[in-house]
Amino acid sequence: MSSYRCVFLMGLEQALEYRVSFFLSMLSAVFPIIIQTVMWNYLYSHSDAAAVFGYEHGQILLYTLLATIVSQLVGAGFEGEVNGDIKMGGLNKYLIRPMDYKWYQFFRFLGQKVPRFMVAAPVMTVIMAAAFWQGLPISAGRVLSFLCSLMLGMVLNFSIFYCIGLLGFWLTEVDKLFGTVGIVLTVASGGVFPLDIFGGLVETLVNVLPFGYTTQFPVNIINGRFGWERIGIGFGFQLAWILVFACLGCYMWRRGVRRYAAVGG
Amino acid sequence: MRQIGRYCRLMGVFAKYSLMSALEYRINFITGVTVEMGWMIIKLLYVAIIYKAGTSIGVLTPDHILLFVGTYVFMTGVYMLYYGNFGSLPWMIQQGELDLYIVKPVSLQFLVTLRRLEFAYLLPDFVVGVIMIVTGWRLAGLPSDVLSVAGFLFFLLCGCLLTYSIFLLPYLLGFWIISLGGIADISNALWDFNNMPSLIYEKWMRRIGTYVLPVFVITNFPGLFLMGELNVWACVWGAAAPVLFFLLSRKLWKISLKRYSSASS
Repeated sequence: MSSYRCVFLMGLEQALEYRVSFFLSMLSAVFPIIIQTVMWNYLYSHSDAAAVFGYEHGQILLYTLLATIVSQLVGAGFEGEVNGDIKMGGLNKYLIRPMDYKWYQFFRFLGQKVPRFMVAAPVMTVIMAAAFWQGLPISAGRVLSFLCSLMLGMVLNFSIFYCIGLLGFWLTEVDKLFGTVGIVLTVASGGVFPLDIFGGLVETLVNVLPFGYTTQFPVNIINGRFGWERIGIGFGFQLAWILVFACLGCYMWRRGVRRYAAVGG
Repeated sequence: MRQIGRYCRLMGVFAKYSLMSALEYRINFITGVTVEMGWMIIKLLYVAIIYKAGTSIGVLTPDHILLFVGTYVFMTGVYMLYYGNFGSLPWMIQQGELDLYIVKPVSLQFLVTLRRLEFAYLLPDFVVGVIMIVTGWRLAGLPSDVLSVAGFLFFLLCGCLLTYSIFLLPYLLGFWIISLGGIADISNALWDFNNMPSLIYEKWMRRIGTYVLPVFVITNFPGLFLMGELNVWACVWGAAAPVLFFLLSRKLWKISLKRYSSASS
């Protein structure tokens, strides 16, 4: 376990390597929040948007504020490195070490998230306090459920992107494909807008597919859109999808390593 | 004039070799198209929300907004055509790669910032942008006489020059600092302010975005001109700002270049 602790600390150090860049990157999340807040404020003050979109004004504002932060917290970004290790033979050094590659990536991923969480936690606290003061039904139970679902969302997103990274065993040109997948999954997870505002088939798909359970589900717990029954079902979906992707990752790894040619390294 | 002709011919050569490269690595080209289409989904979501709400923003109906966002999509394609050169500038500075170009008998800024063109990024934005512009133009019942079309194209051209000039500035910091990841994020987020027409923002934001850091001029002025919403002074500013900012980018490029120390080449 001590080796994984070192990997965790290494991830933390790596995240803080370029501090100015790190904080500017966090700051860049503010701009889309401004754009969307302005847009929602305008729409809600000039039309019956609550009836059209199914979110109250306060709920959608809280969603806008928190979804970008949650999206950054659960975001992966290691899939390119996994692919690079497979392509360039960097995997060799992990295969001969008494360490599971999946857990190595997982603990480094967690370590890299710590500084982001340290910055995001006070911001989220202020936002939630303001939302509570504005009359949104934020309670200790909801905050706790939100934090649990956020953690599970991180694990789920890690599992999804770990599988995507392992595609490097079979595909030769995937760097740009990762870009596409990353963007599409950000949209599908509700990281830009809550997709259930479009209703019908889109809402059904969001409820069934795993992506919404990384971002949209945690945020909809805290903004009061989901009742306790829906929250319970959502946790069930989160755990089930984590299990599915964890098994898929193990299967892909076993099959992939057999194909691995260990070129270079 | 001879110099301009020479640079136009050089631009043609760059375009030819970039196109040949794109056709040689076809999978790269296709994945590049899919990446850009992924980003486009986000832009189209904004339009979908406006149409779903069915609300006008000031004098702008949803059809006008379709035209404005179409202009933004189109300009994004033009920006992405040479964006890769901006992104690789910090790396070239760190690796001493500028040495290879600095001795060539041609403007270093021209060579470094326009030598590689990504047609894969231009293509989807160009096609979808033009469709959105034409559709919005027709649905909104805007005039399509020679003067209107010429004015619209003129402000599009001005927007192209302004985009180049404004968004090169953050990358010049690569001459001073090592990691530009966060600055790139900020500048991209700034570009995204054009996701919505400037009329949706508060007056003070519009003024800053029009006169201090004129990102709103890039995608709003062509549409506003068509609607007859630009007064004479705004037209003058729309034409003058690209020239002023281009001169500024030239000046700052020359100042920044003095910092180049030709490391590790």
